Amino acid sequence: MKKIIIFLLLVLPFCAIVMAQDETTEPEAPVRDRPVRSPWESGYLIDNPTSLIPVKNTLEFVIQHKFGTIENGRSDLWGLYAAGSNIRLGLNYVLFKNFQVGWGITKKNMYNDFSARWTLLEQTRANRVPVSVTLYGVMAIDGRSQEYYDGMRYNHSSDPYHPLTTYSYRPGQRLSYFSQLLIGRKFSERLSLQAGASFTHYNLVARTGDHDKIGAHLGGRFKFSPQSSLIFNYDVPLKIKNISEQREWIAHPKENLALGLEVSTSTHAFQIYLGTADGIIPQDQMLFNQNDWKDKGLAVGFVITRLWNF
Amino acid sequence: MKRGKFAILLVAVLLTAAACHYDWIAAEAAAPIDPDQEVSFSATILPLFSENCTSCHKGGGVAPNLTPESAYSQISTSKYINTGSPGQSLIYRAVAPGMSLPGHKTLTSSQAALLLAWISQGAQNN
Repeated sequence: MKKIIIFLLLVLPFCAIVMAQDETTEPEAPVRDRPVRSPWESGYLIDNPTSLIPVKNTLEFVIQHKFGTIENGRSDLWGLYAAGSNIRLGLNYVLFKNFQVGWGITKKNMYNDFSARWTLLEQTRANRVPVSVTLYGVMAIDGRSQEYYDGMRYNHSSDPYHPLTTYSYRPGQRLSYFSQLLIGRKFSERLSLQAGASFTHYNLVARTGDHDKIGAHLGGRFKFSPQSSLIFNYDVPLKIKNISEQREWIAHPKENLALGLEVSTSTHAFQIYLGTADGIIPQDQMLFNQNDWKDKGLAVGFVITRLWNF
Repeated sequence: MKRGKFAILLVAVLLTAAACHYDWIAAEAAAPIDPDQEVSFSATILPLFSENCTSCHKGGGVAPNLTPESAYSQISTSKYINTGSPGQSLIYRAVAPGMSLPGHKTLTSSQAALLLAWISQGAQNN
């Protein structure tokens, strides 16, 4: 049963390829209730996606950067000059209406990630559809050198403490997956909120870790001028004993809290924030974040997006 | 066209299902340490830090600063050391084989065992 649930969670976002295409062939309703205008300013809300997908054939370039944590204070300019920074460069392309695919490469673990995002439902102006519903899926490949993997031994059994631990490396150990369902609503011209649930799977983890993690997500923006908004997101990896492989959690991932400011134009968005996660791709944040916002585990980060239409 | 869409879906499903593993990073067996042998911070632990950690963990680098002049004062807090449960100490968990933080330097099992023994013996500045 567990395997069936995992299978469905992983596959659902990728099914969007088929269903998004079918949508275009359906006849239009006689009275059009159009989608709300600009529920979000960009497809990113700090570390999460949003329901906003640009028009078909739009190419999006994104730079996501996180500096080191503020814990060293002024000695490294509150993390701005720290060694532990992370950066991701990504390209997204809108293949069909409300369906976007993407690729990116991240400094941490040299992740190559491939993503698909599909806004199944858009909130409408007459409130016939009161919320937007978005599916998001990411598959990532850990791109670190083979020497890194050759330096370890692996256990393919279901028990992390199994004594027979002399199995060899296999390429699938580099893969990880993330699937997310987001429900959002633009409550007013100023306020938009979204909440979601996610499932993360890593093929290879340390003895003290879990391969699977279910997470809860909350995010929002408060627009205080035509181009500027206050934004936040809060992602919580949940402690669910039924899917955990550990007798006790030794290094359970910490929640990711981020607060920031967004400035946007029609083709750009710039977000600067203070947040906890040092990882950028969502599965890394949900399984490996050890920075604690209650213990100086905050770092400055920014997101820049640029759109081109073809 | 419809056949093409189903082919894409089928490939996505097969790739996802076939690539799902549940593998673990396994620990090496470490040579046992004599419980009567006192592990010295200056003679054993500091060289281990210098060899493995101080390229990043230095003044102006990633905290904690593990250079010889600062290491003890930086890590002798409850954040890094738990003498009640030595295996839970962050300074150990961050580098122990099979436990280390992703992307973080991992000590050999023997080195990690020495670090654990030093914490178990009270994490003295000896």
